[in-house]
Amino acid sequence: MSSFDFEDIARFVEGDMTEQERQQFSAQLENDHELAAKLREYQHIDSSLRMKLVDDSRDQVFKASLDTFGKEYFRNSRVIPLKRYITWAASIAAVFVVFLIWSPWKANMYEQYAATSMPATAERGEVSGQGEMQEAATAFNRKDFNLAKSKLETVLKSEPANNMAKLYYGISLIETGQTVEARKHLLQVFNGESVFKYDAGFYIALSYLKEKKEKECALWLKKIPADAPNYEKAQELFRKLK
Amino acid sequence: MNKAHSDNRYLTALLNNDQKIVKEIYAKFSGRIKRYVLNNSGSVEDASDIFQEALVDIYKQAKYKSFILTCPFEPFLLLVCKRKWLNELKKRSILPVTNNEDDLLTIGEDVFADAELLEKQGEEARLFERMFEKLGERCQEIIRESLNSNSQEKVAEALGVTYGYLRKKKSECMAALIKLIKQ
Repeated sequence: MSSFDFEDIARFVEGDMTEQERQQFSAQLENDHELAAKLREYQHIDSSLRMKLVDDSRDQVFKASLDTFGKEYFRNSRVIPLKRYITWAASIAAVFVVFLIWSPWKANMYEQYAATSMPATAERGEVSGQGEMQEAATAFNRKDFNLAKSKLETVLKSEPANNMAKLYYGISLIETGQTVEARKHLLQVFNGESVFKYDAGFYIALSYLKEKKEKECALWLKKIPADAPNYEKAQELFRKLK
Repeated sequence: MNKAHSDNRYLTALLNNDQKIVKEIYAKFSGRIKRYVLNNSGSVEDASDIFQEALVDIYKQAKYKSFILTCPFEPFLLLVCKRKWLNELKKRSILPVTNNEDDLLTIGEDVFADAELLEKQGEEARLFERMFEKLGERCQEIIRESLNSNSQEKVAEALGVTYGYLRKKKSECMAALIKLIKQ
């Protein structure tokens, strides 16, 4: 019979035993199958729980990149029943002609391309820092960029290397007219190697577009390589600039 | 332990968030999932959600449960997505349209085995989480914060307890959780 209970096993796994206890535990583990089975059970429960409860920055970055690809690969093919499609097509065509003459997009090409949403990072604000990130996402998606800015500032104070926070901080700065300050932060992300690298590049381009500096904007769009997720979008905007 | 299939490289890519290969996964496999869900009373958004959920499940199990792929990736992913979608339809009380056994005949035993392991471990994790939620609030807080932080000293400080107390309490709480699970 094992003299160690689950609390002891927890202390063993977590490295919280004294050296003497640890030696005793290890010695017993060699011959005690029951203890070995309990240890496996503990590790199984611990790792399963981590799957549910842990949401670290790598997980968040991973999910953010799935969001990006999901939008790219699932968005472009809405299936519309044909009959309804034809009725709509006629009216859309009429509106389109009016738009061609009016050309409102030339005025707000920035708004057209800047629109994005910040991924929510956690279900609940359970971990310090994640609550702020969550609140920032909510504010950002409500287009309350001033609030988003201050929340992201708090996140960046405790996690200066959080590239996701930095990217959305940069976008919020552009939205509130602080384009120069925005570029400082976005440039840091662009010079790094995170998945947000080329998003940052794209928004640097947009910050110039907002200042009506189309030449600089085009220059930055060109920096986005063909295998980046936002390449198509960058190319599309590039063609429109010409 | 079973030997990894060469397609396990996709799991490695998910773990490393390798943009090129994750994009390849979407480019190669999203079309079939989309068609399947659309033909089975679902929308493009449903297909997108199911696809993403499946990838997150696979990623989490590769990360925390050392899950490895012993079969080809495509039929595996397809099977995982199909089962997820059939579950979702059941929740919405909709009967599946197409005969789902047809194309499953070509799927190998190894694919079923991997998909079943993924499902079983996922269900267990959900059960453990439900038990975790039955713990007292303080225990939940201590376990959650401890698992989510690299610095236990910081956790102790944030919770306003000493480091020694936090460690002792964490072990007690984990033991209490295991007791609940084993009941």
